[in-house]
Amino acid sequence: MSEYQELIKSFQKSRNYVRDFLIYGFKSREDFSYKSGRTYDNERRRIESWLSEYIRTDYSPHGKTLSIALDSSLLGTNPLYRVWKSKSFTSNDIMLHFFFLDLFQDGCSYTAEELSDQILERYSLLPETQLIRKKANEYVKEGILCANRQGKRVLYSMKPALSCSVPGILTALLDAIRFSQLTMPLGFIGSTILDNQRVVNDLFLARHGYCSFTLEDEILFHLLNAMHHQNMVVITNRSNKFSRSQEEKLPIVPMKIFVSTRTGRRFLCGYRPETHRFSTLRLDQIHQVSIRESFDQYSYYRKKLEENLSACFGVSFGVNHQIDTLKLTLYIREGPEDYIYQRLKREGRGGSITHTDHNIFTYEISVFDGNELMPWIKTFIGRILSFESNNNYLVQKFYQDIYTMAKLYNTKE
Amino acid sequence: MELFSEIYNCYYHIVDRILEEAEKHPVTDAEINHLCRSEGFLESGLYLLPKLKERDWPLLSFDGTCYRALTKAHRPLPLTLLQRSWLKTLLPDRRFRLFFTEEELSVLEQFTEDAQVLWSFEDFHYYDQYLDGDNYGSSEYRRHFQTLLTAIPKRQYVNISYQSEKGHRITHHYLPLKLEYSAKNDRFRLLAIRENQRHSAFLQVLNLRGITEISLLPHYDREDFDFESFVRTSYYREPVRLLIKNQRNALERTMLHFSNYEKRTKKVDEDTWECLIYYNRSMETELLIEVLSFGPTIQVLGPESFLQQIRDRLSRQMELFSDNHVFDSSVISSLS
Repeated sequence: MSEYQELIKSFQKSRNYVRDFLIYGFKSREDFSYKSGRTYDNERRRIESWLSEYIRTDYSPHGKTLSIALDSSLLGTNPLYRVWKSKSFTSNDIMLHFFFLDLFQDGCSYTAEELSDQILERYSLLPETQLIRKKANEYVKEGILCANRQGKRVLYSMKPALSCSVPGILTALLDAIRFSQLTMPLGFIGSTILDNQRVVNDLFLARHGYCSFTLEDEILFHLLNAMHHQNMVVITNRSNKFSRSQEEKLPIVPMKIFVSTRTGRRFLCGYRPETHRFSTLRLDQIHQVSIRESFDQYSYYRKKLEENLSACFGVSFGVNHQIDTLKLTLYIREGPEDYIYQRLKREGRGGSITHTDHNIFTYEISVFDGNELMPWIKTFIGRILSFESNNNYLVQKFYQDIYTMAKLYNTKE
Repeated sequence: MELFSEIYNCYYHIVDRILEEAEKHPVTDAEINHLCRSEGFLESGLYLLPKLKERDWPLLSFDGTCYRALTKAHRPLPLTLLQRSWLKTLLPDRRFRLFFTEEELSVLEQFTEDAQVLWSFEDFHYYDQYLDGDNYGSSEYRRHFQTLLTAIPKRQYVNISYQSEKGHRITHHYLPLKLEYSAKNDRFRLLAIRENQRHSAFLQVLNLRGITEISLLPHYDREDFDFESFVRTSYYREPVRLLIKNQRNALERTMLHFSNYEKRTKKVDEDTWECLIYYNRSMETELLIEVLSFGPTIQVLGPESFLQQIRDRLSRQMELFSDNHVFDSSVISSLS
């Protein structure tokens, strides 16, 4: 049985536990029965260690529960980035890392053999030259070292530090990184630059920030790479339709990442050749991405997708080819309630707004899946004069929901 | 290029800090422990410190009282290709460009020349982002933004003339504290305190696009200030209490939707959960309409003031239906 370690080799297993502790936060040890109790104990201990100041423990009749309590509007960085900073390494990895940083002063260059001699002389250690060469080549790939061939010799040197590369604009750059690590895709990368420079973000906050998204960043990284090279991928997906043990493998051509700024959810939108349709899949339900061959008709389908976006209210392309048309009539007092009209304009995603009478406005839109508008329409409760659609199911559902809510809150008609 | 790489590991960061200190002067056991606690995870010391102190990793020497670094002057790690690629990807972004002049952007373009972009902005579709985001290309907006970037770190007071969305014009002296960005609104807001309310607990929120003029004042704030505690004092004592029935996947949807708030959830029975959400006045209306968007799948149990607002909106709604005969009793009976 292997000994417990604070660091991990693979991100995948911890990703699910961190997400459950953050998003749900009410699950007890028994609720994680799909893995052994020992696995749960180890993962819990790790997460308590990584995120100690955000951990909250509760006791309920269902058992002890652990949650990650974050108020994202008060955070200068995403605490879940720490999970990315937990990759395990060997003793040789860390020793060579710091030997390189010490030996490669400005202008110095060495062969692997010379590095070996230097390490013996300076630190009384004799790692194999082969090991040094391997690590140096890894660092060349990472962009930390440069390799120059002189005849048969390969001379390694180190790239200049950031402060030497862009001295005049370092302050502005660090401010831009302070902002971007909190708000841009793959922001974790920016946080590592702040770590390197030993600065923190005390300038910016993010309202409507969703921390859990970073747990999907490795999936996102591979998908963006596939999109860049116009490749097919096969994804391993575990949707809510199945139990946790069931996975499906889906070949798909990744086209775009759909992002909800209101819920933090991110989706892969891609073309599925076997069904001849565009599909969207939640990134948090994708467990693996395997990059395959390039897709010849990539540009054609990307253009097709762009043409379809105007009829996509959210992420759904509908279950059939029927377009849902919806008409919402609202009572808005002109003047004091102009901000509601502004809401319709900025949140209506291209729907038309008509001033039909004094204090009466009509919003109309045609989309693939009218069901996606229903939550948004309910945000206008208190002002809705009527709701109409060519989809009777939506009309029924809408009135049923309002009626049920009125009963729920004992509201008089 | 690997995203999950030991190069970005927290242990490397701790060792980097310890070596930096130990290169400058001998460091004590207590100093090393302190650095490890402040830079590392809760249990990092258990694994990392024995390796360093017992010379499994020969980076420190021990003279009986203190540790010295065997490295002489290790340099900061240069940016990796992944980090440069990330920066290169951000260069065309209008918000990122707010921080730089055109000449500075050219320097960055040169710096990231050998890197490849990780995505293009067309690869993302922010489908529910508001359509009236800030005008980041405006030179006036950029000037105001830059002035605030100068003032905030120095805690320098500024004079701001402001026009609110409702058209009110005000001019005051402010202590700017933070810039807040909302991806949903696609806008920046300034969080500040008015100079004449320095000791009150009232945070001013100004849309950056509403600022018509801003200038630096020649005085600074010198008192200790804990921003988080300051904001937390504005939170209502009683959180919103939601009862969630797991219909239409409501549990997962609510848990994800409200994950940007500080919340606490407990299981009531097999298919019912209670969720507490902590909030303040500035979040109240937004939280209210978010709750309404879930319809009958969640029920607000309290606090009474929040509950009353839900009831008021529903009452108004039922009156509108009744007045317009949209929702008469025959419709109700056919639905119930």
